[in-house]
Amino acid sequence: MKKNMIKRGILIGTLVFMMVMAGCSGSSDNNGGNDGENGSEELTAFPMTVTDTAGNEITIEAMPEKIISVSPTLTETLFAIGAGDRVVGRTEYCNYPEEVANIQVIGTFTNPNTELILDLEPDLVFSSGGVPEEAQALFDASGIKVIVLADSQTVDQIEENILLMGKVLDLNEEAAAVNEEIEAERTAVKAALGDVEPKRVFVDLGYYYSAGAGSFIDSIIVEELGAINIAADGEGEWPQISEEVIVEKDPEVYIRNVTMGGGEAEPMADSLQGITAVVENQVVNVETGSPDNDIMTRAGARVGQTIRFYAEAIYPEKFN
Amino acid sequence: MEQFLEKHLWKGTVLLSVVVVITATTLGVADISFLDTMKILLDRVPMLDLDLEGIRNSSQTIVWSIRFPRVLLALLVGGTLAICGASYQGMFKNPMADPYILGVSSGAALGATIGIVFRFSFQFLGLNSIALMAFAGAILSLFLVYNISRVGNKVPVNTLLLSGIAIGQFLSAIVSLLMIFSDEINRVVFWTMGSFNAKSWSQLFIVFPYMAIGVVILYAQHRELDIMLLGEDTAAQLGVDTERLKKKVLLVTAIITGAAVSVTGIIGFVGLIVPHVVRILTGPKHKRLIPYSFVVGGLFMIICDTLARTLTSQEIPVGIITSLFGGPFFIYLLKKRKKSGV
Repeated sequence: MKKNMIKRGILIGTLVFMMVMAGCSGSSDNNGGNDGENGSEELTAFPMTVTDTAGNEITIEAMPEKIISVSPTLTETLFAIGAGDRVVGRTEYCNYPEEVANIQVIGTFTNPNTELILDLEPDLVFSSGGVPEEAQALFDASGIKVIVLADSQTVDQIEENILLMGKVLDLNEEAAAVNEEIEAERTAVKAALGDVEPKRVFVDLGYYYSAGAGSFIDSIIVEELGAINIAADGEGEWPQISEEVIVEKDPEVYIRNVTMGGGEAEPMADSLQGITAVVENQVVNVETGSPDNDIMTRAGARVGQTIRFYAEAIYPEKFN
Repeated sequence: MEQFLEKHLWKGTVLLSVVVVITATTLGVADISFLDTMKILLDRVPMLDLDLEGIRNSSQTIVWSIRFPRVLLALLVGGTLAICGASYQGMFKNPMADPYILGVSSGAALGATIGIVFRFSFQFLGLNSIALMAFAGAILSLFLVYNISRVGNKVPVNTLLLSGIAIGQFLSAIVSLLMIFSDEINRVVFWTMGSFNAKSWSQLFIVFPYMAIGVVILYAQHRELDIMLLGEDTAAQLGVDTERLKKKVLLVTAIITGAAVSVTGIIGFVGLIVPHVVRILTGPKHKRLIPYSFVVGGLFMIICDTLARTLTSQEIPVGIITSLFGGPFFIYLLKKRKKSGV
């Protein structure tokens, strides 16, 4: 990873505002300890240097006014902390909240269009994936900063990322408030569950692709809800699990992404008819591309809803 | 003497096939003992009533509803692809011909991609929309290629091959275009690599009749195909109705390949290479080439699929395995043949 050099060029008449916040926002009790800084007590002062999840040190010279987000998850989060009006570019898949519809599309998150990004002259680009060398060189030359926030693997990491975004955009309090909401939901769900018998769960993201160890869905199922994710020992974060393994591990709850034709979900495979989830009618169908589908799979500001979604899907008896 | 060999070679081949099918069924990621697997299989034989006491229900489901039909489907698909390859190679007199050469695979891929990208969701005869779209795509692309190549009521073989390649490339480009604009890109890619994952009896029953009839029809052409090896003109002078033969073979292979592709995706290599391997063993006569291609193709596919589902805890698309292991093996055979100067 290339360290971003601090540009020694002339700062084009930028006044550096020393924004002094009366910064005493309610600190949420998580602190994953990013460099021992506590985001909520931080006074935002520019220039500032932050470290992103790819380990790059980025120096932000002044308050970013124009932001581009190259990930639906990050777009949601930007809007949640009140930076939505500064977002000037987004990906084709960014669909939440509704206001994003009016924002210019700069490609897909796997294939963002460098030319379009340069043309929008943003101060800051948020991306969930790495930036190709040649694009990075162009951004550097144009003074566009790129912060990489890879998809989080745990709820704590999501909260850290939210704080980091708040810090960079001088929205510390709003970011802390978003985290408080997440925490409230987390606590409420934990309280509702109490001491439950752990259930065996299979999440089918389509064609038996599932969430393995290291994915944030796994962390929600296992760490937040104390259930058992039967795909946890698959290869990598998003393994494809064979039917054989599903039958053998016999999930009690089966959450599936499925295309629905006329409200009818595609029937489950014959060989899965004998698993407990099917026999006891504990199959939760989520239509591909529906809002619930996004809540299921996005590690962003709505993660509180994500926790609740899985909790209600796995332990419906606790939420009636 | 030769007939005696022929008979016994067949017996040996059938026995080998049974052994491979059963062995493959006993292997898998779920831990089920060889003995239990045998019990579960034999219990299904009428008149045999075994004691399945102590064997978990899930094990029975795994062996009977997942592994066994999957192994049989691999046998059937591998065998039929190899036969289509053999027939095409004979008919086109071209060692590079494979079942997909006339754009059938690209047509199927386009059908499947449309189904995946636009999230079609309908069922017909127990086949899902993607399988049906793939089948339709395969048949339509062949129909297109045939009609482009037709001059009057003749279809010159070279024109067929060339227009097949052109149409294939064209349809592949449309697939790529759809993929670029879709977030389902990995599903499309995985579909085009082929897989037997999640296939069971229902798929097997659907494709079996097409394939069985197809195999019989292709085998019945074995003399004409032999004569075609002398060239189309010569064959016509010797009284082979070459146009009719081409129509028959094209239609049958399209239906078989379409059926295979629609349930398993595109599995390369088997249809191209297996007939060559078999030729090294049996010689070029289609009377033996066709049945032995079926067996070798089927067994090869079973072995590859067994590797695909047991190497790691995650499924590997079988199309990767066929080329990965088949390629070096075939090169070894070619080298060996060179040395012995056959």
